[in-house]
Amino acid sequence: MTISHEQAAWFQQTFDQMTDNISKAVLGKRHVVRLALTCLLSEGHFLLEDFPGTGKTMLARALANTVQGSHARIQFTPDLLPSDVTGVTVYDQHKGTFEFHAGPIFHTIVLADEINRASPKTQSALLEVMEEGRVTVDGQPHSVGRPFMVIATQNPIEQAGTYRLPEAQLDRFLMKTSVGYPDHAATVELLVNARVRDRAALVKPIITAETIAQMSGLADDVYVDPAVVGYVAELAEESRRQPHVKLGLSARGCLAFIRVAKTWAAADGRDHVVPDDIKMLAEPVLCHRLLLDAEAQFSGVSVETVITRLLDTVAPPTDRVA
Amino acid sequence: MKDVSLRDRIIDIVLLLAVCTAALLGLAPTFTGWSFAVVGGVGLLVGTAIGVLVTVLRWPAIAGVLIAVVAFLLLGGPLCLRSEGGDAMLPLPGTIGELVDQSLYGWKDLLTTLPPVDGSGPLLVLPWLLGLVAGLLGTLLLRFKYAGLPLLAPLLLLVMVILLGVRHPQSLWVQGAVLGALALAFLAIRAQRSSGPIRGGAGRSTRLVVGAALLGVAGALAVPVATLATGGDAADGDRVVLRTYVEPPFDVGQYPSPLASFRRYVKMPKPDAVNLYDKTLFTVDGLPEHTRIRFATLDHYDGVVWGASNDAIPGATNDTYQRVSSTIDNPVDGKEVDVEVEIGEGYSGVWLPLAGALQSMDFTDGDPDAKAEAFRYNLATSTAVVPSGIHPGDRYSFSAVLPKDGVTDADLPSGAIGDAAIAAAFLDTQAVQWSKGESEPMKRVFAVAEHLKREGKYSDGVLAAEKIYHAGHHVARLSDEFVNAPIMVGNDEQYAAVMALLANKIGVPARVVMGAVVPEGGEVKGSSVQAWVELQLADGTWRTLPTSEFMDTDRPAEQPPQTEQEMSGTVVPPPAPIPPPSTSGEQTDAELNSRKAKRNAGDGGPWSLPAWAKALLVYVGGPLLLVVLLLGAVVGAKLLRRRRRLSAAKVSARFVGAWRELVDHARDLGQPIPMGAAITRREQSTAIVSPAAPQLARIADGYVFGPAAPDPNAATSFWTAVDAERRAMSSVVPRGRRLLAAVNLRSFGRR
Repeated sequence: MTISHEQAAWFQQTFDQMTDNISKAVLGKRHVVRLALTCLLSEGHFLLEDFPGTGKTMLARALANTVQGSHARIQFTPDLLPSDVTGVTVYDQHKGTFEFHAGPIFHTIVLADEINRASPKTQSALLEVMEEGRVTVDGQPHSVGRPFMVIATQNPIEQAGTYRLPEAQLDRFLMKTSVGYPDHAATVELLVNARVRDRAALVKPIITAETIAQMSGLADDVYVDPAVVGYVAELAEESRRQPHVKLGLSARGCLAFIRVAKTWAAADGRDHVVPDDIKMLAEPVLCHRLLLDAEAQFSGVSVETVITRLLDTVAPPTDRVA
Repeated sequence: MKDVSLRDRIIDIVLLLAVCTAALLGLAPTFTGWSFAVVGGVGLLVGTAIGVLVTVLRWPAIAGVLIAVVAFLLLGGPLCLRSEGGDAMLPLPGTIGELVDQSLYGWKDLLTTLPPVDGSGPLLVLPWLLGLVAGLLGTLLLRFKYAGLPLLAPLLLLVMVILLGVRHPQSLWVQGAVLGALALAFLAIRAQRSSGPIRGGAGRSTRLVVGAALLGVAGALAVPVATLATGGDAADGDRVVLRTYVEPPFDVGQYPSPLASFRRYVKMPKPDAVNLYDKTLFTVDGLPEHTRIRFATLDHYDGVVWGASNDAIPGATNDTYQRVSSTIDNPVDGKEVDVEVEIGEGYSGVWLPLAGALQSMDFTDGDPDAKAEAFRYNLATSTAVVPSGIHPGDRYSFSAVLPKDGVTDADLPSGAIGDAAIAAAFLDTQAVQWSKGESEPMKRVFAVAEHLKREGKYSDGVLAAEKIYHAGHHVARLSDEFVNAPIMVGNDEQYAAVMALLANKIGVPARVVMGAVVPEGGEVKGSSVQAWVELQLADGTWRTLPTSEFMDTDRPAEQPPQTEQEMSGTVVPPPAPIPPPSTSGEQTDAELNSRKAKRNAGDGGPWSLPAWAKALLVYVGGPLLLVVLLLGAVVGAKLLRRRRRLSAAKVSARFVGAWRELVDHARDLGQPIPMGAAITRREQSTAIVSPAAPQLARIADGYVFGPAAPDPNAATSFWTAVDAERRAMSSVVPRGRRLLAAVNLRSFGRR
């Protein structure tokens, strides 16, 4: 079944409302907001990497605020333990039984702030919940419910006191992007309204968790022509052949690509994906999934360079398959 | 493709020119002089310049081709047709016609002309065309990133040069080595430039040593490899050339055998108007006394006559009648002579009297140009034919080499027996009986000759008592009336014919030659005419077996034998009818004449206009017509392209085509539209100066990548929308810009 034109139009309208709502807090970053919302509606997780003070946390909090659901913020520190994230089973002396005390991960939207400041052990505590939507403590699985989204922020790895996220962890993030500094107009507006200390508080919930789930379902019904699917497959294969690339796009990455492209197309009011969607989303979807070799750094080759070269190498389809 | 610096581009072009020049010089044995190299070199330079121009201006390759066509027609006259007079230097219709004519038919003329051809003649159009195409192609191929791709141009040029060349090229090793080395250098430089910078690994000195070693190996390999590539691999020393396979369209068999009319030259008892015995056939100056001068070499016996033919010698490739230029590549050892001949009242026909191996030819009187053009020469038989005819009063001069002659019974014969041995089947008995038990073929031939001389009698059959000795040398005359008769009686015609047949039967290649022995003073009369036999030795040379070796001059007794009552019993088939003259043999001449006639008519007929009108038509009309034709071709090509897109079988392809039509229109209007395989419609739409373009791109994408199969009616509607947008885009630009867009070639370029 394919999404109808009316459903696509409703999707686009709702998506735009959410974007407008979040943009009250995050000035001049509409594209990043759209990416974050796309990630939410694709039931994926979002990784924001940038320098301190660029609005990463603000964006995450605004996104959490716009949804009528529970949300929690976990400040990742070097002494944070896995049980501080997932929860712990304690003995209830009154009842004489062991009871599970859920950790902050059991919310609709979880903000994992400065995730790379925690030790790899604690980072790994997120692996299961991000992939399967559940937490296993003392052999007992505990579902976190739907929708569930982790918005993580991290400082660049060159920053002091940071740990590199393992590849398996990175692959669980649907998209990664950076917020970047606001442009001149946004900076001026920010300064003019400096009295507003907490801009995220300006964002009121306008959508329910059920609607989010409904939109996710509609996005799944967006049509992807085999020619476009082939284009994604060719990009994946070519990514593994590119010089300086140690680890190319995985099958999970390809699936993520298609899923994100569907949501992006629906957000544009379309019932089908076009190659431009793939090109547009290539960088946020691929940049944390491609692992370069050591020589790349010496040669001045960055992931962004590789992605640009990849898109220049693989020709997008101009016609449908049949 | 990586950006290439100006210095690198110049190096590429210079090396490419050098490789092409080395390939082009392979035509040296094909043309006399070096005009071909100059013309071909200019062609290379002009082609390269056009290629560079097109590349710098980022024009499509088709533009380069069109410019090259114009350059070919404009410069072809002064470069290649100087020999044809003043008007040929100008790009007039006649000149253009001649250039096109030579481009289309010159190849055939070149291949059917015995090399080297005149280096100043109209066939220079061919090296001019080859150079132009190679230069343009090579430069255009430099656009591609593949290091060796531009070498395709000199490679194709080399193939053409070899195919159009001669079987025994000179300086094969030198040319091959130079060409190979230049090509390797070109490849090495381009490959090194396209490879990435070396980091780490071997040091500079190590790389230098390794590089030098590799270059040395490449150089050592270049000589044999390039020599093989230039055609030096054939086991017999010959290389494969087209002229081996292109049969000259000339059937010499259509001309009557001069041997059949031998009795015109014998002494008659009474004066006879047609008899030539006392008439001067021609006067020769420059030949030693008693030199044999040849009318025709007759190498094919069909049971009726000994005649001349093409391809009579097994295994030979030079035994055809080919056009020749004024000088002939005919290397033979011997005495060089320069001869002048004036045809007398007694000689006419197509066979041109010559002596020895011809080196050069010059007709001086009697429509020399026509004779020179029609003149054909057979290297293997040293026989010349002038199809337009030799007439009394004609004069010509030639230089020739008189090779070593004479044969003895100790010489070894060649083993290349032709069809004549089969035709001599009726002489099986004589070939054995008259050999006197000899086993060596040459000794058997001399034994047979001796038998013929000893047993045979001489009669021209013109005396009243000798009229029973008929003329002719068909099978019946040679069997029942000669070898099987009680007494063999005949003259040169019968003796030479049967001697040659017997020699072939024995296994010694033999042929009959009709000619004359130059008397003192050089005035050749009919009385000097003879028919003799030539035998081929193991070294391939043909040696004369004089008539005196196999024919005596004793006359027969007064009472002739009753041959009618003593038939041998041999079943003699009736003489085969002489085939009607073939018209295909004249085909080339006819074509040539027809083409010339057309050109002459074109030059003279329609131009009977006032001078100002003629000038206007020539200098304005011609170029204008050419330009209009070129522009029309561009518009036509665009219409064809549009039609193909509009009528694509796949409906979604019609949307794609409609979008491309819009993009092409924008490009032709001069808008900078991003092109390339990685560019999508939406990306292009942002660059098109049209408010509707993004929406059109979105619609096209919707139909192409949407869930439902596109509807043909929707495609038609989309084309309508695109056409409306194209008109809207055109309406906002000046009229001149619109006209320019209609003929702009930009949209044929990179997609």
